[in-house]
Amino acid sequence: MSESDIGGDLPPLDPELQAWLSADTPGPMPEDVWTDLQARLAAEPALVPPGLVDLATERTRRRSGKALPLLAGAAGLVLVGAVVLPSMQTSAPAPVAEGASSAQPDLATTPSPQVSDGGNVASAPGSVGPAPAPRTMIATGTDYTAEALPAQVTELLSTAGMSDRAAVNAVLTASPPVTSMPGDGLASSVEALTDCLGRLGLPPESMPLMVDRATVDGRQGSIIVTVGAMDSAGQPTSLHAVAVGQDCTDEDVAAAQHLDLALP
Amino acid sequence: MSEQTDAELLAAHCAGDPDAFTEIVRRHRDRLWAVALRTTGNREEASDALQDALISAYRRADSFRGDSAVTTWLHRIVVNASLDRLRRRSVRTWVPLPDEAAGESPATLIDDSRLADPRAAVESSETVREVRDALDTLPPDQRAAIVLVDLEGWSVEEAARALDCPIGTVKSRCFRGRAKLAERLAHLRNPDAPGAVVLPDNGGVTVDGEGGAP
Repeated sequence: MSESDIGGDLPPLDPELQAWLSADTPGPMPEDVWTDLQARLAAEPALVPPGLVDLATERTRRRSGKALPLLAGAAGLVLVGAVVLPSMQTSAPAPVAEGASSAQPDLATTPSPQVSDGGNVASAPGSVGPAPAPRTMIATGTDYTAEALPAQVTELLSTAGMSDRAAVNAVLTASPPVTSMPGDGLASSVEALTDCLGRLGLPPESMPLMVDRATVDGRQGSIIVTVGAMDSAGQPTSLHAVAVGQDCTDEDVAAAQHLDLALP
Repeated sequence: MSEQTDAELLAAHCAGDPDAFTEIVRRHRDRLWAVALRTTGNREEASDALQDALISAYRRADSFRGDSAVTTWLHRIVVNASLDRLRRRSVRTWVPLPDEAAGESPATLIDDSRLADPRAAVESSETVREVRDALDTLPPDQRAAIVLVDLEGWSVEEAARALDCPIGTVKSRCFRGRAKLAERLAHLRNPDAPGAVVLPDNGGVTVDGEGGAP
């Protein structure tokens, strides 16, 4: 049948016809339909905002051999925890990485981190500082580049045991912020880091998770990893990483490379 | 989470919150189910259409531009998924209208004693079945228009947006659908009831290009 537009108002539905139609009420959604629907929705991967690097995808890509080999080799990895409580400074072995969960599949494929003994050590429970202090300080010596940044940061997070929501949440809940910072420039103090985060345009409530003192395009710099977004339950859903020159000057800020990463 | 608006929840979903979308669906599940069931007329197809639609909406949430309510957007997707299934099904089965069918009158299915009281007729499961059968005979587009406007209470404008067609087309579909339903269900009519069904005679409605209801 052909269709045509009609003018004028649609007449009200005839009461008797309306009564007949109303007689058939569908009722609420059956529980089995709702259960199936919930299961289907739960099986869907969380949406990844545009521009966000999906950590799960990136890890798969990296494992398939397409990514640059990073952070590998014995030359490399020095995990520097933050600062221990005075009572722990001489006796307690520093944790491998504060906040690192036991589920760190990628740690098995990278050299075991060594804790430096030069005063750049470890964090401690109980000494909770203000929010802008990171949970972890690391010095990997990586030279971060724009092209390889997603793969490099993915590797960094994997190494630090922050590669999924549960692990990051464990860091946030179990590891206190460091109480002092051993590096130069932005990594020299909580105040310097806070100032740099502000200059980078990150919101004041940004929660730094980790600072990796390294090089950026061959110049001394740092990777700062912060919590990007949280869900309504307060669980982190994405991270934000910035590669920036160590002094966080105006030039450094202008040249900084930003990266959002969706947590699986 | 329950304090957030639908739009806020959808934004949270787009930002990676894995629970936000399910919360939106939880809020509106009964109405979405009603639309799917009434449009498809079949429980299994309604369930499948709903899943197809909501998974699609979950994945395409970032395409929501906020020019309508989130619920309108979801209903639109559910209606279209239901229509897709209905169209596929209508290719396979088509029940002829009474005047096209040869054989006995469907009035023989009705217990006449209950028709003395229209309410009794309405409450009759036989009537429900008759109504479902009658809806099932409508072409998918007419059925969807009737479901949205006459059953779900949407305005013609809202239905036109959901069905992505002109307002006049929705009115035309409703008009023709009603006429068919009235004809199909005429045997249920109580001639003594006030406002008894009268087959449409174009009262106040101008049909362009066609000579009234078929």
